[in-house]
Amino acid sequence: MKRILYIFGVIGVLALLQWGLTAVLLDGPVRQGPYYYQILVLAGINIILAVSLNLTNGIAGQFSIGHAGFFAVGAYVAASVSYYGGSAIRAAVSFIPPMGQDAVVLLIALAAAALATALAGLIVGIPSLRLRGDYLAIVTLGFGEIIRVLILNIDAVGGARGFSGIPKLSNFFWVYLMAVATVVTVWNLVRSTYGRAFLAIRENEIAAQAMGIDVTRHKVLAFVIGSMFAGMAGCLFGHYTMYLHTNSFTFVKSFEIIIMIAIGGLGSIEGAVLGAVLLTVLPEAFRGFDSYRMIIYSLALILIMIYRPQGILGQKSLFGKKRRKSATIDAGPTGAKSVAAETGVAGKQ
Amino acid sequence: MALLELKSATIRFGGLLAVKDLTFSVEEGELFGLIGPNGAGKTTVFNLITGVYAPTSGEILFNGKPVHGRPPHRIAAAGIARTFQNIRLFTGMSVLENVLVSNHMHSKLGVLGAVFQGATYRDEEASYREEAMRLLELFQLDKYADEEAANLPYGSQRRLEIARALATKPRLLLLDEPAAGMNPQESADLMRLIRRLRDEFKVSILLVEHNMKVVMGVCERIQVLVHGEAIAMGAPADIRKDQKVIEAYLGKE
Repeated sequence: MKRILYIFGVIGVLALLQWGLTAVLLDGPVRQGPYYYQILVLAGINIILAVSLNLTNGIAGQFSIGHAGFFAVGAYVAASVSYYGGSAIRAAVSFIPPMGQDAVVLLIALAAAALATALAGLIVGIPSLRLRGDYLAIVTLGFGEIIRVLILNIDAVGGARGFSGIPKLSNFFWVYLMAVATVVTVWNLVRSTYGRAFLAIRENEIAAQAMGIDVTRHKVLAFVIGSMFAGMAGCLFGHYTMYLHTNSFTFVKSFEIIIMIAIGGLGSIEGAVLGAVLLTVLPEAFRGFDSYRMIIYSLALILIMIYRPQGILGQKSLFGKKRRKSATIDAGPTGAKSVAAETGVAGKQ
Repeated sequence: MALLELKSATIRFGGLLAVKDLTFSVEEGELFGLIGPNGAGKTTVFNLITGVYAPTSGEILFNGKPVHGRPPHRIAAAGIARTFQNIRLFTGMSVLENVLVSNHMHSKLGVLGAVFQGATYRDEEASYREEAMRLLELFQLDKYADEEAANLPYGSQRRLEIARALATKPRLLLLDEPAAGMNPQESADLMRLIRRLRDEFKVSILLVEHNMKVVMGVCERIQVLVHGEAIAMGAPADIRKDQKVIEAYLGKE
């Protein structure tokens, strides 16, 4: 029961925020209000992308660099559903008010995007995750580019002209509802036996196998879940911008998401959220140097890798409780004591 | 019926015959030793039993059922757990989490159950944590429960490996050089621990060890391996006197 209250609480707060933001930023007195609103929405979409990629790259340790490919698949599949099937869906649920019809169309598009990207994740993941090493990185990089070129040549989704005429169904409310769902899903997974299985695979595959974990199956699982959320982010993106072009889904976008999670702290969920927000807001703040953005990115990455390789947050509070520092064992009076206790191996009790 | 049976197990890596025609069996509740000079193929035998390698020919039966050629996680699920010669802990995870990993294969929880964390999740998680803490207490690791495994002193890391393997609730425990790098006091404690595990957890133990004091002191039967071939087998007292074993270790006069 508490859980249901929670869900309604989140929905209520987000709906209230949506109403307030619309009043203040979109219809309201703030100069450039719609611009700020858009940054907020894009930050939310990036949060979904970063947190979902973090499940694959950070937590399960499988380095994927094709997240933009799944983002694209989701965006285009969902947009096609609402563009070509929107009126049919509306007709089927014509008994509810137009706002409800919008929601139904969006939810169906979201489900279609999730299904399509999960399937794509399965097709890419099964062969490449059976192999050890960097194959996944290479395959996913290729996948992202193949998808992009493929879409560029499908006329039904606009091809090189871009896909226009997508209904505006998504907004702050839907994006952040999905972002919360993504964070909660990944968070809960990490704290379950599944999460520990993912972490174990990242830490040591051979030992994970010996602990009874089907390594390939769980790698694929993490990859598919990650891809699925990227697809749903794509759906929300397309239905917000109302126009899709393959230029939004190049490998540069994939790297952008990787940078978000690397800056925040690979494996840390809060870090992924922080990285997503930073990398959405900072480029806007530096609008004037737009063409130097990639230089700033690479510099930021290099500097972080040198001075803080574990990311801004590192692994902090990933498991709720903060772990003790190694110093308590290796040095100091308490350390000496625990080493002395060491020699009294279990048998004595 | 023997718990574990190797029937002329053979594995060949290209031109190298690493294990040749090996036949032995471990009984329920037995403390069984596998010894031999460096490069004799002891760890390869472990890798055969745990499914890391599939034998080129021959059979491996666990509990009467063939397990050779099965993937490692299936063999672990069947009830064979192991430790590693070069410690393979999940170093970035806490000591408690290292032990908790073993619960995944016993868990009835689906992905959706894990995401929504209903009653099954809470009950399972609570009992897993309780069990894991009890196990850590037995190994005197409970005070390090939230410590990162990488930060443990060497001896504790070895013990954590055994604790983690036991947490999978195995019927057969393979220990790959558990006394490596331990001082005499520590290895004496280890011997007591091994006997205690057998009695309390009702596991059979197959031990690879170079420390002869540990092997002779703990094992009830010993199989000697030289260049992948079995040369002797029997009680510690007989092995110690066996001419071929002495030759293998010390050379011929």
